[in-house]
Amino acid sequence: MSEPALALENLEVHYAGVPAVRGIDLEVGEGEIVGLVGPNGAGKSSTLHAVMGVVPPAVGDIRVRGRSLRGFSPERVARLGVALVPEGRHIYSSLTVAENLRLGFAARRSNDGLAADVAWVESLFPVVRDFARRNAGALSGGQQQQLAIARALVARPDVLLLDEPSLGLAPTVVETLFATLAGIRERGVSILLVEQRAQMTIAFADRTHVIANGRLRLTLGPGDAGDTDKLTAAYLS
Amino acid sequence: MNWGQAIADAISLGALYGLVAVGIGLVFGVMRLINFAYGELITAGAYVLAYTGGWPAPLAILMCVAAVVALALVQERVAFRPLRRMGASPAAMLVATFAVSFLLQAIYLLAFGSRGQIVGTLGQLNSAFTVDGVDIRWILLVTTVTGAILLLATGALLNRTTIGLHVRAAAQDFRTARILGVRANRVIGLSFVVAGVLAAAVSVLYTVSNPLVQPQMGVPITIFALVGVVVGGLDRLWSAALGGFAVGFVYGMFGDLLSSQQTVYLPAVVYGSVILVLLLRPAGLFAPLHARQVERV
Ligand SMILES: Nc1ncnc2c1ncn2[C@@H]1O[C@H](COP(=O)(O)OP(=O)(O)OP(=O)(O)O)[C@@H](O)[C@H]1O
Ligand SMILES: [Mg+2]
Repeated sequence: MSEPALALENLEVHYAGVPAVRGIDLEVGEGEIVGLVGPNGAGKSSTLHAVMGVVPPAVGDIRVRGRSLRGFSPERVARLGVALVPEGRHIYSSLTVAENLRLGFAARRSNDGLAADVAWVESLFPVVRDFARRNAGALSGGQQQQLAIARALVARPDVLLLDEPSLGLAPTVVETLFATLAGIRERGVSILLVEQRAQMTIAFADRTHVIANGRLRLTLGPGDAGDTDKLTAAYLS
Repeated sequence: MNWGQAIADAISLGALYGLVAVGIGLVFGVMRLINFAYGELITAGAYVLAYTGGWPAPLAILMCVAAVVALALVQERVAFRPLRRMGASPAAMLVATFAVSFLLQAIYLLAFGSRGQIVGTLGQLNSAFTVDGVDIRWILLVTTVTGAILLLATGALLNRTTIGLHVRAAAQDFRTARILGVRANRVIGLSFVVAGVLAAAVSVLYTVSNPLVQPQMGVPITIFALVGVVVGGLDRLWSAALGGFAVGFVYGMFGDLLSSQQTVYLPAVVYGSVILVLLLRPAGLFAPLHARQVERV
């Protein structure tokens, strides 16, 4: 049996003893896109931070291809092939677009194929090439989001975590973004997609978990898109 | 004393304090930590020079650099890294740097005595050359040129290399840098190494004009540089360097132009201005940084 690209096992995250994530089991298989939606404060970002080693899991485990990430620093997790596009982008506004992209190289395990990866990312997001010398702070919000995803992709990750990438984007742009994610998956990247746009995510992802109050309440497939009653109930639970 | 000499003195003292300010600013940038024990690195370098007086100057200087860099790394490894790992608060870290400062001073006192040692390395640079009837000591020229070269080299390291890019990113947003795979220990280690090299350079240059080495020698240097750093602002290394330069320049000017009865008040004025700045901007000392809410590692 092949190990899933990413597995969370009974994950709990606490802040100063107060639980924010209360026991989550979740798997992302190789080349899968799994959605995670839920209301504000549900614990979505906390879950991703636990995977990245930004916050330690209080209980439970996180595995990448079967390997436990317990006690790993963020840089170590990144170098194992997990990349996070953080909520709010966290672009380095005083560095140039090209420098931001170069920071993404830090997690690469090998520089083989670097030029090809950069070319691929530039074809997905031409903005990183066209505005390479510009300060990243001068980009529009949507362009910064593209840069944040591009920066994660040049690390050549096996697992891509996205925290609300559609935040602040116009609906048509979101559709383009999702289409791009589908293209990224075609390259064998496994994706865990945290989103506020529940309906779009459910329709798009292979399956989508609904998280509320730190627990998974419901799992929906693309066929369930439009089933607002179930979703509303899960959000309110 | 005339204006020409005063300006030459002031420029070289400015260069010296610019180096100290950058050394402190670099570590502050990545760790959000003001290392009050920075001056003790300079003192350590001065002691190395005092005890290698009989050696050829290049060898003594090399030894000085090696020892100071090693001590800087020891400071980071033994004191600051464990605290950082434990998640110590910024205040606790700051107090720790005081503790390290006093500890090192006590060690110097026990090991080398209170009477002081004399450095003779590069003493020949105290001889003067004459421009337009103004006598200028060689060390002033050497200090200014060395200071400029080291600042430019530091700038090149930060702006032209990958690890330099990582340091700049870490200084802006350390958590995101780590998420991207930037190794925290490397970036911090590098900033301590560079800070150590700069401190060693200050040891060499400073002791030519001030050859007496005592355990507390580094304290006023640190505090004066911090004044400059406060004035200039730590958000950019260049502003810290300029602040350091300004304080050194002003100090050098007044030190030369005022009579000796007047200069005894100079440190008091400088220290007083620190208190004033702290009072006027209690939270906002490094306001641009706090406004951006950058995490310490
Ligand atoms: N660093 C922190 N310290 C203390 N509490 C935190 C911290 N980060 C998050 N929390 C708390 O944990 C809970 C979950 O927060 P989290 O950011 O994971 O939610 P989220 O699902 O990402 O919400 P949003 O959709 O608003 O981004 C919230 O109650 C939040 O207040
Ligand atoms: Mg969130």
